[in-house]
Amino acid sequence: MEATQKTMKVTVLRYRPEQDKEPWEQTFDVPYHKDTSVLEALFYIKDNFEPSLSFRWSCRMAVCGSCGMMVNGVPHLACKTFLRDYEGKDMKIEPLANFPIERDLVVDLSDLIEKIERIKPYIIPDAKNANMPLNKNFKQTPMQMEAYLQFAQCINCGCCYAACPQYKLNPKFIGPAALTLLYRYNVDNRDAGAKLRAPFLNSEEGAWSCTFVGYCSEVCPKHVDPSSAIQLGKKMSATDYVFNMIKPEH
Amino acid sequence: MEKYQFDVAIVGAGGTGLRAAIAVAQADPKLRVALISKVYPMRSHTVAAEGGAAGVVRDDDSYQKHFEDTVAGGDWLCEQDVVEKFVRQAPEELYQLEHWGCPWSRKPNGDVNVRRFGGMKVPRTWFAADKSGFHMLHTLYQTSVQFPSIQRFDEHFVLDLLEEDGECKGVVCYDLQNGAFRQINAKAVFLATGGAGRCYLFNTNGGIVTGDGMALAYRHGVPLRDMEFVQYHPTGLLGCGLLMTEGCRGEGGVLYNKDGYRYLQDYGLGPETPVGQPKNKYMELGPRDRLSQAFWNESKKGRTIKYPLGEAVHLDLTHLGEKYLHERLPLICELAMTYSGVDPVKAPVPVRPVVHYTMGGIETDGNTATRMPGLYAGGECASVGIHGANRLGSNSLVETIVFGKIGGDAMAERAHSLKDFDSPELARQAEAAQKRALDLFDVKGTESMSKIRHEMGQSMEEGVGIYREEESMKKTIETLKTLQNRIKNVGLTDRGRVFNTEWMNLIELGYTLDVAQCMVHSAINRKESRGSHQRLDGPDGAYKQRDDVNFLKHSLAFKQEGADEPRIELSPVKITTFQPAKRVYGAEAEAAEAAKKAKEAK
Amino acid sequence: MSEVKSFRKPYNPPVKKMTWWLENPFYIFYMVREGTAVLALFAVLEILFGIFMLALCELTPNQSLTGVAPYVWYLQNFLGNPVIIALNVIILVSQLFHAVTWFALMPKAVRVFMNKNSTELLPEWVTKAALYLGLVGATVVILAVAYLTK
Repeated sequence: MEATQKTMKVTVLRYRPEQDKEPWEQTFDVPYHKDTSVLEALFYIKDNFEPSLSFRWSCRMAVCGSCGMMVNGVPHLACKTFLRDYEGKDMKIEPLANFPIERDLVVDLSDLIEKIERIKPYIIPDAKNANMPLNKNFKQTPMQMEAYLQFAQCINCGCCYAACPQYKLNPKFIGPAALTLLYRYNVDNRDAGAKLRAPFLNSEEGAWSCTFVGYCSEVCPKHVDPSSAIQLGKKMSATDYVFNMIKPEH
Repeated sequence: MEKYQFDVAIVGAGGTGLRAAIAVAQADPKLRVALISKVYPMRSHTVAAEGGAAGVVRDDDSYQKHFEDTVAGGDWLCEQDVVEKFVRQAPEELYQLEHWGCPWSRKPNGDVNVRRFGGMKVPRTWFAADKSGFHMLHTLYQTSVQFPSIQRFDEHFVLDLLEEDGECKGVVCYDLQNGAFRQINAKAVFLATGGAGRCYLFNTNGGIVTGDGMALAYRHGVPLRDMEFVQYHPTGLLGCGLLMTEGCRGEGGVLYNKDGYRYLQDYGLGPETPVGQPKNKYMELGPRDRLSQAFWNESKKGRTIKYPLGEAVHLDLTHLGEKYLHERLPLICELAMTYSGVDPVKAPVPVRPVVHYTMGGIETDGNTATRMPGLYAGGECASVGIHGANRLGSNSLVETIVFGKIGGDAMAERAHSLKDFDSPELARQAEAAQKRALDLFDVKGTESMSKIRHEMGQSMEEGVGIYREEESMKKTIETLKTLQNRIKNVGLTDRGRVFNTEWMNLIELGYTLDVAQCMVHSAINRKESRGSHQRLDGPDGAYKQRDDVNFLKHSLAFKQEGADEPRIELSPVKITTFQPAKRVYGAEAEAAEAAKKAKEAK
Repeated sequence: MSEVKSFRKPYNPPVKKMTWWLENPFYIFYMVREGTAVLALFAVLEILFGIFMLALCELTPNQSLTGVAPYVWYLQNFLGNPVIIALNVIILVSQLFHAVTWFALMPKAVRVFMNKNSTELLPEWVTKAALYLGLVGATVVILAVAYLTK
């Protein structure tokens, strides 16, 4: 602990579904030092002022994806955001935008989860590799891995959905994380399932709903760059379209 | 209460739970699987594992070597038949994950690469950079979604097991989002709830690692085995305790004390190996218990480095260079920068030992079955018998998938042998569990939950830390006893049913306290030093030594009806081919091996 | 025992369909970037108008001024109008802005490896440099054609 502790005014959006008609704000004075994260500020509030404050958290090291929330209007992981970076300002913590608020800082993520699971996020091998014995690996050079590895770093925190205005305006949009995952599997050389995922990629709710705002990439705490994956997905989708025009299947 | 009928109910959706669910689904798609977790699957703490998973693949390696490393690493407290099975099945499971899409780091030719790890004779640790657990968990989760027979109950918190005629017949859980209780009848119940690192204050674990499954089994009379063996990871980030993977040292990282001296050579791990040339089982690649103990001794000698946040030693990676570090240890670089303000490329990272893993857990046989028919356990919450008194790094990630698979297969078999069932007794138990949970809202006490949690963590560190003494353990026993009483007087501030984390945390804390008691009672009963359990006391310091005559045995912690403390028993250890010997590393190990060879040659 | 199925009452924050983009500087910037496309439309209409006026002309081998009166009007009275000149300057600036911001994003849509055996990606500046080179090249060609056919 540092000897000189400062204090910051931290406002938290509260919503208790069984009591409140709509969300309201509650402000606390939170002492902090140079290593205090927003998550630790919330611990402090829960332990000292408001045990009833609810928020999701677990790993504290920016890998479990539980603690996505809005800090001064910008989606962040609470555990990877520090009060020191807001020195001289007040802080306002709200639940992730663009999701229904379940209680306090907890949002309903079921739409995100459903989309991630919808796009067939698993290896679909071709017939030749379907029964590869369990003493042998697929050949995958470091370069072949590099083609998708960055897009496999998503922790499903939902920050990109909170950043996406297209998702805000059209909740049917499959959205950044799920489309990124789709692209990740399509470019994995072990996978042969691109055709099965094409309906999602090409659909109106798919890649073409993205207008390349680019804010998802800006806020992504793991530098996955979903907007890049979606643009690359558009290229894939366009190629697919042209190819199908020239050579109709079946 | 809503009631469901399943063939298999799996509690916990981390590496083990997901692997088990997939195994059941593949064994028979007609079997209905309930996968219950208090968080979404990808939040499970498997996600935070960094270093990798051990499996024999190299030509210069063998199952025998992996077996011997594991058993010696566990100070001979391992079930040797189970270890044998484990090392044989490990590569298969790792290849299986590869086929499912796990991005294991590769060699230039496209085959899977392996790295060095502490206590392992040969490099055999499969790794996905330093996010091995993350990639394993996401691969398993994503793979699992293609099986329609797996029905997930995300953000469902298990309150109790259902038991009839001595058999486990289901669980009762609480839907955090909807605020509803659910009774789930199942022919087999699998506990895969992870460890209990949250018994301690300073740990690498996530907030969810509260020992829930261990406490559930314990409360139903199933013993917790070898709970005194709690692993301190030697390199946790100073301050927050976040993990700096053993892979750091596997890749060539070295440890210095305040004099810039590689102190490990003073603790039977030398001679010093040249910087940048790590050697298996030497120096920084010794086992975790030895390294953590070395820190403790350095601290006693006043040779650690004092920081405002406490004492530390330096983990130096600077000689590895930016490019290599960013390729092999990207997460470590990110974590050190973010949480410690140190760039490992440029400066050494201050680290210290931190509670990391519970070697012990729910007693099971080699097929994950507990002594209660119908109840199975796997992963960190179980003591299947492979870690003994000290787990080797990278054995636990592979444990999750090996015993997830074994458990899944075993449960599928059991499910086939039984018909669907229901009874008023199960409903009665479910109602009772619901009432117990709801009654917590009516407690009018003034105790503070966060104070109890803090005092428990503090007391555990003082009593059952790296080195232990009767005196301090007794104090911890007393503290935990009073905390068990105080927790009954925690008044909740809020009666809300949707996502009431205050309420859930209170029930979790109850679980954690039970597990903490098992740890300290097992520890005080083990009057010897073995693996991660090191004592400083005894007549003439007798407990400082390993005592195979009296304690080459497992500890079992049983719940005692009516008493608020566990009863400890001992049970035999299965030894097949590898007789207990002195556990040696560094040059001493080489000398011992040479002597053994010479003897055999005679 | 009667158990309510759910205690949920999720709150859906209202969506401001028209003014959402005012909430965040990043969105405002995005709207400005996209807004410049409207001005590009004006430039296109302007050129189409010119072609239309040219089509109205009676083109004969011995060109008389009266025959090309519509196009002359287009050049002198329309394009020469100070308001139109000012508008065209604004369009030029806005299109340059659009180009700069668009080029800044383009590397995201390009993922090419340095060579066959490398795990290193083509650096972003290469993509951007190629785009700027294209922009400058096209401008030079247009100006050269205009100069040579004067």
